[in-house]
Amino acid sequence: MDLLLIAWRYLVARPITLVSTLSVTVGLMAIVVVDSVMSGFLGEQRALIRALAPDVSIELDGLDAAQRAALASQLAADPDVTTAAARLDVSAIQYCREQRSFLAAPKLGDSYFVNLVGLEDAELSGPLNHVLGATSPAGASAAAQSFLGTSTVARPADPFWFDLDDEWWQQRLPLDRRHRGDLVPVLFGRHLAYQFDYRPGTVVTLATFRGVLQAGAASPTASREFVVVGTFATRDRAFDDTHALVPRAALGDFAGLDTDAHEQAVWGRGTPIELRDRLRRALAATVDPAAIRSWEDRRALLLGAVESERRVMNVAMFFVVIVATFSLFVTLHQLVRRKTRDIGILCALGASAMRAGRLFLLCGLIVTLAGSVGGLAGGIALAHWLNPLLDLVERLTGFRLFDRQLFSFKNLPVQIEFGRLVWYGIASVACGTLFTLLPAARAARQDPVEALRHE
Amino acid sequence: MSDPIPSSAPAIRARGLVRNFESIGQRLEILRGVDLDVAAGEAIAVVGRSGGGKSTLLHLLGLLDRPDGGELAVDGVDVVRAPRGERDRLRRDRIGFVFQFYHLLPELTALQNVLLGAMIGVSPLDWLGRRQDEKQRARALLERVGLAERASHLPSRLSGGERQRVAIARALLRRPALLLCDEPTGNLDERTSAEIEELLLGIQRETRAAMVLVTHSLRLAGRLDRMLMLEGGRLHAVEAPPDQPAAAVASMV
Repeated sequence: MDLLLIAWRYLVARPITLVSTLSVTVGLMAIVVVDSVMSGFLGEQRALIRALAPDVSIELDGLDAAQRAALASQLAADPDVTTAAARLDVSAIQYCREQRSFLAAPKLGDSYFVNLVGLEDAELSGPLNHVLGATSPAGASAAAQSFLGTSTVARPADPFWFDLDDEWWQQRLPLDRRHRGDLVPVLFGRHLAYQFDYRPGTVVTLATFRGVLQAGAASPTASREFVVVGTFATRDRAFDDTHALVPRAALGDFAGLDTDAHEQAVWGRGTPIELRDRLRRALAATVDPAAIRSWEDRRALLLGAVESERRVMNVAMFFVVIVATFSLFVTLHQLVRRKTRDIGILCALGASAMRAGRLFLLCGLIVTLAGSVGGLAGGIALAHWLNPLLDLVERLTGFRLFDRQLFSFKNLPVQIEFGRLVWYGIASVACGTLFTLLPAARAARQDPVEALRHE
Repeated sequence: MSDPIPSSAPAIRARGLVRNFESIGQRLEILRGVDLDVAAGEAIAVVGRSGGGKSTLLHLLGLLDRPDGGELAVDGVDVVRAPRGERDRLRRDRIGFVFQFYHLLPELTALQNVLLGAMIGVSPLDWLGRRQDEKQRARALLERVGLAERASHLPSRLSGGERQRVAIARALLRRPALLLCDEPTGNLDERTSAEIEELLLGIQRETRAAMVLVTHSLRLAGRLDRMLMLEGGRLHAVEAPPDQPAAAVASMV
């Protein structure tokens, strides 16, 4: 009890200890804000890296039709699987038939690569529904639907919905295409659609090789007209610039592929890793476990780089903690020197020298605890209101820290991860205690008689 | 004023106490074989030249230091061989110190300084149970030394005499069996010294605690039960005519 009283009185009587507390507070606040912004960026990066990837994908190469059918029925019966759909990837070339603007690319007659992803409705109307843009009648918000106008028929929730008999579509199709029954619906990435000025009803010609390419053999090509039925937008602008979504069956027919899918996309309960492991066990008799991979497995290299970036940042943050708590060493060292006589007095009153050492340890602990709690609370508050604060600074000074032009999000992404913040708090208290140990040990080794004579 | 915890053992029994120091490669023999017996309730004065080892002797008796040789028992406990924890406990519970320079903690109020002795080694939970009683006792002691109104004052706002009164109250809180006073009036003016002398002697009589008082004040030394002179590293009894103690001792010191 004596230690608590004396430590408290020591600290409140010395403004320098307030400086130490503030240095810990400010250091931790900086860590919390930087970590939260870093986590926000990493979260955005993960979403960006993921694009349209399902939780788990199962490669179907090497499986015959019977095995594929067995796999599909197993997935349909699995209670952990919420959506399972086949996918197909085909590269194609699109021609620019019309040049809307002479100032911007693409130019008339140019051709561009586009990656076609063959999807089943189940994915787009299910887990990927959120990527559908405002120009997709089925995925549009109420406001967008109002903008697009109402249809003469109730629109189904099919993202590839295209109906030549519907007035809504007839108004948008070129006159010479209004009776073409072989138009295939396609959803373009929003940036790609913007670049080519594609709108619902635009007819696009795409060409591809038919069948499996073989070295040394001439491969037949095919071209077909597709009708743009909407757009989609993932957070990955590069993905949206180069991809288009097509009904899987129509894409298989277009590309002349024997197999109707390259992979089985699976969405389910739990984390993708948990789902992968469960599926590996459940499907071991049908599929090679190595062919079942979570989206994180497939993007392991990129995610590894992101995690590495986070690790480097954590180490850098740890140095901030060290610097923030180092001032404690100086403060406590000075305190022990100034209060040497008090050590002798405490010993004369019956305290052991070790107890005198604990007094200074307690001083350090109070400072780091107060600084850490203040730093965590202040940091969380600052991170929470970071964007409004930056807006305020911009309004007052014209200075913008975060350039919206460079990113695909409007505000600085902030994600407060409380679990890691607790670790930063613990690290801060541990570092503070570590820096207090030396002065405290010096106090504990003090000879009481010498201490009483100390001037 | 409460009595000290009764003990049938002599307050101090020292035989052949030796204490040496090393200074710039030289060995200084400060105490060369001190023999001392102090009975319970007895008050003795130790006088001698500055640097003669009086404070060193007091530190040994107060268990703040260990002798290089000899035997020492405090309150019947062999403190030379006692473990550190036992020595700390004895110092806390049975010994009270009064120093020349008061040695109050400047950050604590007078009341908190007095209470400090009762707080040491007590867990916060125990302290909660005892706090009111100890506070009451500390206030009573401050009242006894004439500082009831200054309980909440910091030492910086007290005069030298008042600080020494707080130090005396602090020394008494644990009801010590042995009071060790190291020149308690050495830093005070004559009038204040006289007041502190009266206070100390009065309290010693009330509590019947044994007292070893180191002083240069022969007047004060002459008022105690016995006067010893530390000379050449040993204690010598000073026998002086009762009507001229100061003059007699002065010729010897």
